[in-house]
Amino acid sequence: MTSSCHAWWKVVLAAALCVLPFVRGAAAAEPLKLKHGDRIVLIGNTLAERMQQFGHWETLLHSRFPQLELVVRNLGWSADELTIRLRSKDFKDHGHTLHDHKPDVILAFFGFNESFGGEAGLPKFKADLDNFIKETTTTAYNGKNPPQLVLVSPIANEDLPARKQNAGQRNNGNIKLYTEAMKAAAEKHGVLFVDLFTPTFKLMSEAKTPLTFNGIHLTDNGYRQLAPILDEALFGPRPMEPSVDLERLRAEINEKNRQFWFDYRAVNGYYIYGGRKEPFGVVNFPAEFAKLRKMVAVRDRRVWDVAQGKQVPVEIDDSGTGDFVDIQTNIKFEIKLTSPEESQQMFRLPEGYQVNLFASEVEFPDLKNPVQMTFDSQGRLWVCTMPSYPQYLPGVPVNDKVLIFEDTDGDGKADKQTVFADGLHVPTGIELADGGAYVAEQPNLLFLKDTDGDGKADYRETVLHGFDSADSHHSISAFEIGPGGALYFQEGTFHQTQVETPYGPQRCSDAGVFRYEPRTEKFEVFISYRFANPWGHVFDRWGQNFVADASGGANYFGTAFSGQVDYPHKHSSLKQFFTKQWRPTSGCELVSSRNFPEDTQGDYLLNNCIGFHGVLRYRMKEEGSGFTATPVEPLLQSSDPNFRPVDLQFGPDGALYVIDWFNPLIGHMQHSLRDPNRDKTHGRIWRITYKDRPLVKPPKIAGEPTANLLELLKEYEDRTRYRVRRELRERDSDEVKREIDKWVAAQDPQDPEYWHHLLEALWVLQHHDIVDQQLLKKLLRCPEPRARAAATRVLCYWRDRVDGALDLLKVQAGDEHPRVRLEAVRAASFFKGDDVPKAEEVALESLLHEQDDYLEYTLKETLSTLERRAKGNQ
Amino acid sequence: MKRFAVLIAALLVAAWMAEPLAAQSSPAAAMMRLLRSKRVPEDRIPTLLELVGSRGNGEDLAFIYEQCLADDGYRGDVRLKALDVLAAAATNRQVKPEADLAKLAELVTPKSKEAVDTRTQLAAIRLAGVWKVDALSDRLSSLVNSKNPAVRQAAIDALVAINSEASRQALQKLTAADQPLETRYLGGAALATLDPKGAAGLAADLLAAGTAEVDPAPLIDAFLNHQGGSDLLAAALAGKKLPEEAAKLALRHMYAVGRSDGPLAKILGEAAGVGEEPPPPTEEEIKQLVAEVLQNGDPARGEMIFRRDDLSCMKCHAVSKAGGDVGPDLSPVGATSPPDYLIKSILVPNEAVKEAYLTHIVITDDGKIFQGIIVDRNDERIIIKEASGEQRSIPVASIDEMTEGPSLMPKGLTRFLTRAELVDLVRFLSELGKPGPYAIRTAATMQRWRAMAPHDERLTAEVPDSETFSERVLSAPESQWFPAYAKVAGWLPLEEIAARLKGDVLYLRGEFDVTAAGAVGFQVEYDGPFTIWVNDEPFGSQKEFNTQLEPGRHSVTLRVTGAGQPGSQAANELRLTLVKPAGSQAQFTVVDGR
Repeated sequence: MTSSCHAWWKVVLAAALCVLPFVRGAAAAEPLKLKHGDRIVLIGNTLAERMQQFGHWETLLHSRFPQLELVVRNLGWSADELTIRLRSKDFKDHGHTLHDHKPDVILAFFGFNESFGGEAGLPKFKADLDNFIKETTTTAYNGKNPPQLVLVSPIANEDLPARKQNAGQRNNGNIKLYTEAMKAAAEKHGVLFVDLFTPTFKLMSEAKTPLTFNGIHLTDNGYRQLAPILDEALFGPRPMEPSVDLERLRAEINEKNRQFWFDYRAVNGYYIYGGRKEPFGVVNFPAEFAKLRKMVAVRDRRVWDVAQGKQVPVEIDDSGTGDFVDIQTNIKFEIKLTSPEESQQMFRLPEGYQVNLFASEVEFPDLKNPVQMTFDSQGRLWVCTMPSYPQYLPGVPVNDKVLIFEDTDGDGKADKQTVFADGLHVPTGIELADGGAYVAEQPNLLFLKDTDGDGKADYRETVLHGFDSADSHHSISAFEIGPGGALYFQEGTFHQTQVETPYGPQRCSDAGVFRYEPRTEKFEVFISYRFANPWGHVFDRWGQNFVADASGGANYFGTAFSGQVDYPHKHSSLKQFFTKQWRPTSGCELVSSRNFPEDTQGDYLLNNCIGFHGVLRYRMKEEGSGFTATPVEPLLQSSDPNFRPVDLQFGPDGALYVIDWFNPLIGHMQHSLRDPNRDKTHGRIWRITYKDRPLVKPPKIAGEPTANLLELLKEYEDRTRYRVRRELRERDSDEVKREIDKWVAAQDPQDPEYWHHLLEALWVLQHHDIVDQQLLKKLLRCPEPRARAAATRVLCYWRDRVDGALDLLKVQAGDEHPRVRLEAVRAASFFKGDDVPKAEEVALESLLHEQDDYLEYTLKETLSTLERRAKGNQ
Repeated sequence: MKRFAVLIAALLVAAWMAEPLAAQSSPAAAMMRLLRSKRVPEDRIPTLLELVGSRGNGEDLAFIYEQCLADDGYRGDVRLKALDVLAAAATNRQVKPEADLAKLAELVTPKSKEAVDTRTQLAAIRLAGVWKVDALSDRLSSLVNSKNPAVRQAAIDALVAINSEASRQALQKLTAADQPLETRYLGGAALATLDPKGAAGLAADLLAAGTAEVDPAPLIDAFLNHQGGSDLLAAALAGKKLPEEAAKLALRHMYAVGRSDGPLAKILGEAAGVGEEPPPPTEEEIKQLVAEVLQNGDPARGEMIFRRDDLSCMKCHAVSKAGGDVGPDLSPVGATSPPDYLIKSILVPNEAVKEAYLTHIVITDDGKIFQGIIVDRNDERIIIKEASGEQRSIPVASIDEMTEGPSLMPKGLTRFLTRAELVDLVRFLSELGKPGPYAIRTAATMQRWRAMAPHDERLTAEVPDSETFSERVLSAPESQWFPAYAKVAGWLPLEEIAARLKGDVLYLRGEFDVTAAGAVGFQVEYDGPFTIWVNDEPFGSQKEFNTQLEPGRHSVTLRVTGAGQPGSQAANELRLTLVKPAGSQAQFTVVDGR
């Protein structure tokens, strides 16, 4: 492997030399001079942050200067701008300011996120740049002299024709403008400047395979090609062939960066340095981070040794990095860890229901601390586990997993387990789509895929960065693909999130629900609301959604507060759709299974995991534009205090599956995060069925012809149609469109479910981002109000590509059904610029019709957003 | 018909075109067009008013104001809303109608009750204060002696807000020695709000004249709500002799609203004869306490301490879902929180606060201080929920400083406790939610009660007939019912209630919601004489019975006599459980809460 790598590097280096000789700022700028032991610190946006995942540039750096023993620290942070860098409370005390890192050289990667300000934002950017350069070049962070500063421009954006994405066309004009501004500022102040825009623009226009996976962020290969460009731009032509094994060196660098990442982007910052460091965090964390920092230093040494051609032992020697503080439990009562059999005896269910064990740590020892699950189109249950929770312990490798369980003989018990992915760190959420799994690994969103069919993920890409990790149990969770194909997930308060997207940076402070369209790379804050810690999201048969806030036990009707509100504003308090009984909750689901009794269909199920341990149940009732619910007998109640239901979903057989996190203690505040009684070895999955009704025969989904799949959109169970839509999403878009046209034409308008069938078709098209105006318009004015409401939501997300979108919305705002009006008022909040006055009129139109709490609330929220936009102070 | 519609449309367009230019530039222009167009039905006008009120200019507001006064203008709820909206615009955005504000007099001192109802009058009085219409000071002064306490308080508040020579004179009169103590407290509070320094001496004198019967809460609040106010009062109290009971009331109130300002707490504590405020416990002391809790703590005694009025625990916390809702329901607290954590939560409540209970301290430009949980905020105002459960709206523009505040859990309440009592209390809390007598409620026991001890002979002498029951019990005004909460396991201590309400014939009312119709069963555990009704249907003295019920809210009422006679638990305490009889389709829940 090593020799081929060497050859590979030569090719890349040669190519880079052809592309561009090194670029310097002003003639006045002193070339970058490095001396032994210099500390090089990278700051700036995601371009910098992602570099540490791959290590290509650092490899070239150490191989060029093996004797200098340079210390490189990457402080890049998703979507950072010169003047906007959101961090959680007291992050400054964590030890990662420039004063802490004492740089001799700073590489500053800014300008990309700022470039979305366009020409209008340029004067501010220039002024900010001036201030930044002045401050950085006059502050002696290392206590002796100010650092040498290098301004690094953004890279170009890339069009991805195969995905109909054109970030390049859209953004490159502005990026060029901002790159030029950086160049001019560098010249003016006599600091070094590296233009990455010009050479990457050229590379991208010539590349046969894309250098980015989303138009803006480089892949591993993209960074491999960027590395020599940056290297040469900083230091000139490479003097000689690297004599060391570059891949070995890169492996050492990546290991160093991984440990540094665990420090810099530590999860649970709130308990380490933030608002809740007292009384427990101050006891255990100082020693942990002292050790981790020594471990990073040990790895620096190994990087230098390998760069210098010295031998290093395979095993890393961390024996000299110090010890942890011994943490005692503060539990005073007896803890009894129950066996699955014992725990099963402690359940109570209403008459007619039964519960059985689907899987536990006894048969499947990998099933430790499971947290979220979902079924795939083959009927297999995927679950992410997190024994590393609450967080990494320095020196103990993390090994959280994504497991796949199968019940191959149909006896209601899992008999086969596959490890899809391992080595993960606190994966708080999972959803399946696009042939793989979206997995939370705070602060990132990963996409994992098995490309060679061996059941194990071999492709891994960080598709989104920048979700805060201040509190690991507030981190992105409750993953759910909505009916239209967007991936939804949510985070809790304390978190300061900033995500870089091809449409500009998106920020969210103190909780929200996110919406991500992987196909178009659109990412936005779906619900910007001061939740405590939301952990539950479900869509009903007609696309209406409900959000459960875990900490306070609140439950909300989603349509009312998912209109747009521009950062940093948030939606005001919304009423809950029923009076909460218990807290804290974790996960919600609607009953939609022919195995369950008739009168329970549509019931809202809600897990509760402290005090009341079980599944609460509420009868839903449509009321005006929204819903209300009233409690009915809980579906499941356990007297086992270890039982912690944290997720639930109906399976393909119509049974309800409930994940049991199983832990005697779960409080973050009440016990040390390192309390030895935090269990890390148990986990169960329970299965609830109704005795006197037959199970649902699981329909065949995986691999079925598209036409058959469309027929399955008529199935009764919500979860079946959800899985069918996910399967259809992976089919060829043109084929899907053709088949849908045929299928829609073949439906009988007399069928009582006719409009629901058409709505399903519209949603499948939305999965594929195929805008079908005809079908949309038909549904907008169809006789079924719930379909009109759902279509109005689709119109909202297609507003930029549907002719006369606001005129269509105005009709919806005057609809005879309040929910359609509510969707219209909500949708009006998405309009910007010249559309604002008209959107305001659309929203006000609803006042000519009967009002209710939700309509009034959403109208006020929409008008506030529009008014702020009109005033221009978004 | 069609032609008529076209004509209307043409007129509307004409009205639209004729819109004055000035209004076009108002951010409320689109809403004003709709409001003036009269297209909007009356029941939606309040919404529109609110929208205009939160963004309209002086001219827009003048339109609303004129509609409040015009003969053919807004009436009833619409006018009430209009007045509130005008007040909010002035408070939150400092925008007032461009019109003659003194005309508000018509509503402040109406000629007749028919023309202006009391709610409207109250809103107008408030508005007069918010607008600071000094021309109305005389009229407001005439209202401070109103028989209606709400009108009296509103007039005082308005005079405080106006803060003119005339208004101050009117307030001063309230504190005269010939006024009842309650009125003097109110007057003192008003003057302290205006000038805490100047009024501190007066307040100290008033407190020195205090009694156990009159609650000095408004006077104390006036100082607590002002930055540095409590220190001023403490200084003025130095050397004054305070009656012990008055001092206790003052101190308890202060703790109940989540405050424990040092000097004032100290001086009131001394006068009240309670111990010194102890320093925060050391780790060693906590360890010692934990050991005592485990060894000597008695949860049953602890529960009675938890329920004590003077500790105010249940004002904020519910157990088994019955009680206050300012702090968390404590039902599972023992199962999740070890004793050391509980002790710290009581003695050092600020150390660990759940995110839903994070508080803020807001100090406004005029030195007023607010402390509580922010329940809502927008660009104009924030709404803060105080420890009393009351919500206050604070204009964003008036906020001078906002910091994260301490827990609303009062720090000094333990001064009312002996060490043994603290140990019992912690033991009780640490048992909550664990399997056993303090486990999470699983049966549908009635926890939240309303109790009444009538003096009406028709209710005390014998079991009332159905007409009397309907008229005098079911239709009794809410103000005659007092909150009562069952203990964790559902037992309602009758003795405690009888003592508090000073009567031995008690009427007890609980509520429950039926969501699916069917038979609901009732089980009464009580050895004394009682009569029970479900809604207005009597069931005599049956201890177990079923009845068919339709969906909706229902009530169950018990009349008990001889409460507090010595005997078994079932003679002193009563438990009511709702059950689902075999085969019943009913779904129901008992109503819990505050």
